[in-house]
Amino acid sequence: MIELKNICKEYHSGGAVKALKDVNLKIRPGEFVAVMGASGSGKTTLLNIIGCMDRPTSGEYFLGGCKVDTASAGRTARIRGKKIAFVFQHFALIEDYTVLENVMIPLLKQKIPQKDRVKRALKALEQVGIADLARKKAADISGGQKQRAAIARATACSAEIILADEPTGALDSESGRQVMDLFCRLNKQGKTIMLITHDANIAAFAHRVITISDGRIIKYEKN
Amino acid sequence: MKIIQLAIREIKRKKLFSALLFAVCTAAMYAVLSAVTNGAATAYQEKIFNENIAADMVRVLRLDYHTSFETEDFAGVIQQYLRYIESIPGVQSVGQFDMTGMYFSQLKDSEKYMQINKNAVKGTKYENYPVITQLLCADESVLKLFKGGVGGYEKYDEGILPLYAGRIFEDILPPGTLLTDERTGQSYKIAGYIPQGAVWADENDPVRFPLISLDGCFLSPVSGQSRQDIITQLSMLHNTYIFLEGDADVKQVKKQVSSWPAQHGFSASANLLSEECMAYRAETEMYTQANAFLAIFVLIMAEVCVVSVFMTNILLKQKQYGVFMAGGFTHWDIAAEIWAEIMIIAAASGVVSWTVKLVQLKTGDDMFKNILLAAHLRFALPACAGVVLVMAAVSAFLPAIKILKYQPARLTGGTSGND
Ligand SMILES: Nc1ncnc2c1ncn2[C@@H]1O[C@H](COP(=O)(O)OP(=O)(O)OP(=O)(O)O)[C@@H](O)[C@H]1O
Ligand SMILES: [Mg+2]
Repeated sequence: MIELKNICKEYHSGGAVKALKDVNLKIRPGEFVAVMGASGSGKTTLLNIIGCMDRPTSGEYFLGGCKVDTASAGRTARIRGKKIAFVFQHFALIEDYTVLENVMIPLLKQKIPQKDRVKRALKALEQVGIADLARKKAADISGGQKQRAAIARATACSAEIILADEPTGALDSESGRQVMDLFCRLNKQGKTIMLITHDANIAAFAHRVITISDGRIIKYEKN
Repeated sequence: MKIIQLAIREIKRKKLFSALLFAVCTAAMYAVLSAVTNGAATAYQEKIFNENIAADMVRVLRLDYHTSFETEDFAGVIQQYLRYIESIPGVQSVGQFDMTGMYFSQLKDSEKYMQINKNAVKGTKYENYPVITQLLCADESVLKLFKGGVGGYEKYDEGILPLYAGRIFEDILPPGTLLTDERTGQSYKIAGYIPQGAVWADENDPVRFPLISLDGCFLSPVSGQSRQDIITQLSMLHNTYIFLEGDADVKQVKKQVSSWPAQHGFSASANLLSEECMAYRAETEMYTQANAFLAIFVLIMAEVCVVSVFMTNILLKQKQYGVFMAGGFTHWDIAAEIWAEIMIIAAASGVVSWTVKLVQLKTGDDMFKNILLAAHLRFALPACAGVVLVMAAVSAFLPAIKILKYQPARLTGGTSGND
C-alpha cells in the first residue's frame, strides 16, 4: 500500500543537507514496521514524507496505488485527514487545549456529529488509561501522560495508517510495554503501523525492522 | 462553520490581546465613521443648497453686518442704507427677510390648528409651543432666491398683508381667511399656499446651515411696522440680499456697499453667494481632509497592531497549525481561520462603533443631526463594512502567506521543510 521509489529529500537551510538518499521501500497493508537509526539519520524525514506532511525532493511515492508526491496540497490534506494518524516525536500537544480537545483535533475535519467526536476521543483516552485526565489542560499533565494523550489522538480517528515517532520515548519500560500492546492490538485490527524507536526491545514488537543510516536504508530485517 | 467556531475559540483563548485589538479597531473604525459621516454631511449640505438655489450665485451679494451700533434712529439709518444700495449702478434690487415666531389671535385657541402645527414645529426651537406660528416675512425680490416656492405676491396695501400658508393648513385656513398678529395688531389675509417642499435659508447662514422646510410655515411681505422696529431691522440686516444686473461691476458695487457704512459710523460688507459657497467649501475641505487624515492614520496604526499581533501569534502557534494540518486541515483552512479571527474582531468593532456613533447622533442636538443621521445610515454602514473587509483581508494576508509557504512538517516542529 505504501511504495517509495528512489526518494530523496534535501533541506536547504544554510548548506544543503541530504536527509534521505534514494530510499526504496514497500509496506503492505496491515504491516507493522519499526524504523531504527542514529539521531539525525533521517527517520522523522521519512515518516513525514510517508505521512504527506512533506514532499520529497525527487523520487516517487505511491499510496494505495495513487501517486501522491506531486498531488495538490488540498489532496494531501485530505489523505492525511482520512488515512493517516500521527504520533509526533515531541507529542505536539497544544498546551492550553484540554487533553480531550487535543485528541479531537483529527476528528474535526470528519463529518460526524460533535457528540460522536467526544465519544470517540474519550474511548481512545480510555484505551491509553487516561480518560480521567480528559478535561485537564495538556500543559498540566506529566510527560508520560502527554505521550499517551498523543497516542490517543492518533487512535481516535479511524485512520488505516499510524505513523508514530518514538511513541515510547517518554515512558518507563512497563508503560512502554503497555503502549506497545496497544499498538499490537491496533495492528491486529488491521492498521498499518510504522514506528520509530531507538529501543531494540520496542522494535521487537514489529514484523519488520528497517535501519536507516545517513539517509539510506541499510537493513531490512524480519522479526 | 467549523472554521468560525475555531476562530471564536482562538479569540477567547487570547482574551487580553483580543480585547486590545478590539479596542484599537473600534477606535480606528470610529475615526473612519466620523470622517465619512461628517464628509458626507457637508457634501450633502452643499448638494442640497446647490439643488435648491434659483438665483445666479455670481449675481447675488449677501450683506454682512459687523458692528452693532445703536443710535436712537438706527432703524432709519438702515432704511437709508438700503435705499442707497438700491441706487448703486448695477444693483437691480435689494431684499430682506426675517423668520419669526408669533401668534395669530384667531388661531391661538384653535385645537385643530395646534394639532396640525404641532407637527410643523417638531424639531424647531418652538417644539414645545404648538401655538406659535412660524412666519417668514420676506421682500418680494428675495423670493426668487430658492426654487419651488411662492413666486411673487398679489397686489396688496399695507393695511392687510397677503399671507401664504403651508399646504398642511389648507383645510382649516381657506383663501380669504383674516388673521391678526396678536402682538402688533397687523392684519393678514390668506392669499394662497406655499407649494409643498419649498425651502428657505436658515437665518444664521444660508450656505453653512441646513435649509429649512417651509411646509409648516407662513409667508408674507415685510410689514411697515417691522421696518421701524430696530430689533427686526438688525436681524434682517443679516439677511439682506443684493441682486445685481448681468453687467454689474461686482467689485465696484462691493466697494460702495462697504464705504457708505464707514461714513455713517458702522461697518458692513457684502460677498457674492458664490464666494460664500467657496469659503464654506474651503472650510469643510480642510476639516474633511483633517478628519480623513486622522482616520487613515488611526486605521494604519490599528492595522499595524493587528498584523503584528497575528504575526507573533503565527510563530507561537506553528505547532498547533501543523497538528491541525496533520488532522486533515489544508493551508487554506488555516488561512481562513486566521482571516475569520480578524474578521470577527473587526466586525464586532465595526458594529460597536457604528452603534455608538448612531446613539451619539440620535441623542445629540447637532444642527446637522438629520443630515448626519442620513449620512450615517446611507454611507457609514457600507464604509464600515468595507473597512472591516479590507482590514481583515490586509491583516490576514501576511500571516496567511507565511503559513502557505510551509509544508506542514515544518510547522509541527518535528523535521521541517519548505519548498
Ligand atoms: N528543516 C531542516 N533544515 C535543514 N536540515 C534539516 C531540517 N530538518 C532536518 N534536517 C536535517 O536532516 C537530517 C535528518 O533529520 P531527521 O529529523 O529526519 O533525523 P531523525 O533520524 O529523525 O533524528 P532524531 O532521532 O534525532 O529524531 C538531520 O541531519 C537534520 O539536521
Ligand atoms: Mg526524529
